Amino acid sequence: MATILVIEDAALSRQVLRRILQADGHIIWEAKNGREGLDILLQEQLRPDCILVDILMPEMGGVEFLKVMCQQEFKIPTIVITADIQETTRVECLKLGAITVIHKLVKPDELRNWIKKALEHSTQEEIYEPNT
Amino acid sequence: MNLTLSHIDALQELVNIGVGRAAGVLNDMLDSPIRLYIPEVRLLSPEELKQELESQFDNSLLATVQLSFSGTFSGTAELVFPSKSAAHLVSVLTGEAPGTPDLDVVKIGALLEVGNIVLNGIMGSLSNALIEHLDYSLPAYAESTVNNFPIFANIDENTKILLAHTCFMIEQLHISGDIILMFTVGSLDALLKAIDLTFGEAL
Repeated sequence: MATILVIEDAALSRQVLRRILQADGHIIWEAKNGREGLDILLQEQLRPDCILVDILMPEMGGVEFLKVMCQQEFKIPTIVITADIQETTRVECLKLGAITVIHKLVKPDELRNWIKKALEHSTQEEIYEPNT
Repeated sequence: MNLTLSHIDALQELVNIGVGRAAGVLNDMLDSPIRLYIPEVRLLSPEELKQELESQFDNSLLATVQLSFSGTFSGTAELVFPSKSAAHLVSVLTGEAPGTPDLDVVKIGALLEVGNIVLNGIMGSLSNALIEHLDYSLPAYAESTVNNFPIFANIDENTKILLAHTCFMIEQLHISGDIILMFTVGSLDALLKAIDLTFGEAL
């Protein structure tokens, strides 16, 4: 079981992700845009095991969120889930540290596989990260 | 730059690929087969475009999701449903019994997300094929008649608009919809240049 921060403006997509992840026993925190997601990390100082983030959102989109994550040196495995299927967008997200970019509608098994990889990544970071 | 038959053919094929991908996503969402029609590509003035759309939709109220895009070429992609179809689609997605054609905030949110996924599927296919990155604005929902489509606001009557239009049917669910891509002037040359560069001698 892991704690997963879902950053997604569309209620329909949040609901889909919530159903899949809660059925697998994960705890879900939700934010409706990148700004709310950052508030959880910066103001509330909470650290999820993994982040799922959309790209196109009001106030702060996923790319900007990833940029701030880089600046703040947050090392939380982040999966981008987006309707944007452009190759250029995928490359930009990966350059900004996302571990993968999944296209909507996400298939439950595909999401589970990537969450598993993200959590393994998260565990390795804890083991090998200096000064932790 | 002139719009040649080869350009139209290439655009039809690109839109076809995009719509095919979008239909695949809709099929996954609704678990029902989607029937697609061959896209039509035409260069029109605003008045001709209005007449064209009015002949199709009369003056009926339509539920539309618009996704504006900009980059080397720019314009608007619209997913258009007759009001009844929109209400029916949302009830299938949310699992609620179909009510009135009026949509509340939650239902509009669901329709917006469907539009976002479908229109991104089409525009993303186009962008990937032409290797031209597009920036999207947030999708917007509107209920309007053709006359009040945002594309017609503040547009010069001499503007040329490239229209790519297709429709789809989900017969099992009694849902029909239209996909309309409108590329505005100025970006048209850039679009045609991108097609020439991509398809080169094939055109």
